[in-house]
Amino acid sequence: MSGWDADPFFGALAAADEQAAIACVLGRVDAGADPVDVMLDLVAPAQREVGRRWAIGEWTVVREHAATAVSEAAVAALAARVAVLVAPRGHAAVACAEREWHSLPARLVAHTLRRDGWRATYLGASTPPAQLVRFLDESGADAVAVSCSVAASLPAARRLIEAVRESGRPVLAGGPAFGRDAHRALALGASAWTSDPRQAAELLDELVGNAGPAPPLRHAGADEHAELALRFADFRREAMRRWTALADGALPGADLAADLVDHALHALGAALLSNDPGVLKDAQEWSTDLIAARGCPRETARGLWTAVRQTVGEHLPSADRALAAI
Amino acid sequence: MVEMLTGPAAGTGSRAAFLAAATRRVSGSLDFLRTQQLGLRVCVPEFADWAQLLLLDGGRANVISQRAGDRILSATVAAPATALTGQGRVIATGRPELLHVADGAGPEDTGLVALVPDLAMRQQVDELRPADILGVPLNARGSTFGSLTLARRAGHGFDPEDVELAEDLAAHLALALDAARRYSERAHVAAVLQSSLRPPELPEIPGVRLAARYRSGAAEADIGGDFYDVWHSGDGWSVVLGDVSGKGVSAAVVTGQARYSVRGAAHLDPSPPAVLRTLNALLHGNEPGRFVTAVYGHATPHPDGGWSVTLGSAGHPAPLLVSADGTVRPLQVKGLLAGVVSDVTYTAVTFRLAPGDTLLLYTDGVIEAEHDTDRGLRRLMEIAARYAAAPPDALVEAVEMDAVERIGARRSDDIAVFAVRAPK
Repeated sequence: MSGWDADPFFGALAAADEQAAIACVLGRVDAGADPVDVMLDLVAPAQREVGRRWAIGEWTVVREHAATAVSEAAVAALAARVAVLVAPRGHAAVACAEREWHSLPARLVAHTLRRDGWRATYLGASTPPAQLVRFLDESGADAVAVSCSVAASLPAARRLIEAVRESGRPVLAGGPAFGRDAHRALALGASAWTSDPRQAAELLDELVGNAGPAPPLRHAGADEHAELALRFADFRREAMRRWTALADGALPGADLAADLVDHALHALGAALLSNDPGVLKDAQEWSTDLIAARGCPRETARGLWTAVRQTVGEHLPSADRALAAI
Repeated sequence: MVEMLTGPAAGTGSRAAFLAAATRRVSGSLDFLRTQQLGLRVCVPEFADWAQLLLLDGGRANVISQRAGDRILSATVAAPATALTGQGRVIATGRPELLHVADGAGPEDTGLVALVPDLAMRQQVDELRPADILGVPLNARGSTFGSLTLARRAGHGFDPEDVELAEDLAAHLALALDAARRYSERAHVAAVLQSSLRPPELPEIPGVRLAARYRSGAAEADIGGDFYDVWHSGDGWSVVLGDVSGKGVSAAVVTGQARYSVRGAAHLDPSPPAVLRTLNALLHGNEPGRFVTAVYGHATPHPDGGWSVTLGSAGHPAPLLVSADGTVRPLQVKGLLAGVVSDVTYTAVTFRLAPGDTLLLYTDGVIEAEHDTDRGLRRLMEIAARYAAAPPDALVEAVEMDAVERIGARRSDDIAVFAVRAPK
């Protein structure tokens, strides 16, 4: 995507130049663009490119985070230009589940909701369910939008959805971790799903007043997920040990390898909870690209999933079948 | 017209199931208004075509109603006076009241007015005529504080079992409403008090960039024993970050005292030895058994650019000086923790925060995520080195994220991290 290199906003992100980034987005607003459109049509895609450059190993994680901090600053400058309704249609809390640190997408949803007539409170990255529900009860908010970018946050998203729906409020789910249709989000108990922040206000309008508790999960995978959560620390250690043995020294850096094992196990948990092996497929593709981009042989990427399967297979039969199929 | 489900009337088993499901739904919320809305939604359309909640509030009553498929209406009316019919009777006697409204009675029908005091709500019922209306009391803690009123279209009237079911439902709803109202009253008081104990919004200070992250380890509130504060004074600024012994709300109260003690002391003499000495003396006198670790710094412009910072510590983990080139140096400054001994003398170190340098302050929750503070400190220094040139927001976020992910679900300690950068 060489087009991005010529883009002045992306250039500002690449240079971690906050002033230039802000001047660039406000310039568009001064030229007549809607500030939220600038967020969704410029900042969001540029930020996806930032993530891609990290994934393919072109940018370090620090550079990715520096660029993201600049995007956050640009969004804050744009947010000051968003006109909000005096009498909002309702009050939504916008949250990231635990383990979700990609806060920018949730922030964009909050600003879009504001422009579209809702009051929206953004609660920050990695929010524990108890804190969210306490906010709901104290603020009287009507609904929750939850954003998940990484599969590792999906099990926590399920707990969050249960807690919110138990309190009589609907949950709108969105973000790449839910996949390309509503299936995964609904399986985890969300009231509705969308991939488009511009639809959020209208969906919330329809959902308010229609929320009962999320149906309990009774399939075998839900029990296996509980088992996985209980033994997580052991599984993590054991999978790391096996992967290290299989990879024979060809692991990506120690921190990244540990994160990948974590991510693989959480993705497995998400697949078990949502009864959707697609989560594993997505996670496997993602980790394979990431590992290949760090100059490791393809066997290293396969080794990660072999190690995970060898570690959990004996204890978790559904997980074993799902891992065998990817 | 709306299709009403007759499920609850069909048999004992489904009535029990309806009551169980409805009770669970209304018990989920601790927000008073939401519990009221949920109360209406469990009734409409499954149990009635229309429902109204009337709740006494001093000399007035708040009324909300819902007809199937419509938005919720709300109004405030005079509290019903004791009367032989209608709400006045339901509330005075704590007994149900059943009324049949014939076709053609109109919204001014006196029986209807007595049960449904608001005109717009009466019009909703009027459109259901001929209808049966049932008012049941909401009782909790020995008094009737309101009523639940239900309406059904003709042919779906309330038989004695329905009345009993409505009374059972109202009993559960009353408990949920009473709990939510008490919680909301206390939550309001708590929120006002808590707001003064939360970390402040970061001010704009010319010549520095600030970033901070704070997480409470307490399950019961978003406040805890870690605190920070930064303010602009004269041609410089002051910063404090600290950690009160203990956890949760009782520790948070002391953070408020500590913050104001430090601000007050700095107003008279901003030098770290003076400020920390005063903090120690005030805590020792006021809060026996509580101690505080804190780091306090005062900055004035440096003649060669950036800032000259004087820093003192009351038993706090060493702050880090992070240079733009990624060199990280712990600032060793000794001092006894505050609040233990009555009179303590503190020392200070002075260093230059050159353009591009960052002063990183943190509480022990950050480095104890590793269960071994030496390892935790090394890890923090590595992160600080990597993020030395990244915006300070990215630095504090990376520190927060690393600590939270390492502590995992067992988190009970607070985390505070604060960065001051002198821009290039």
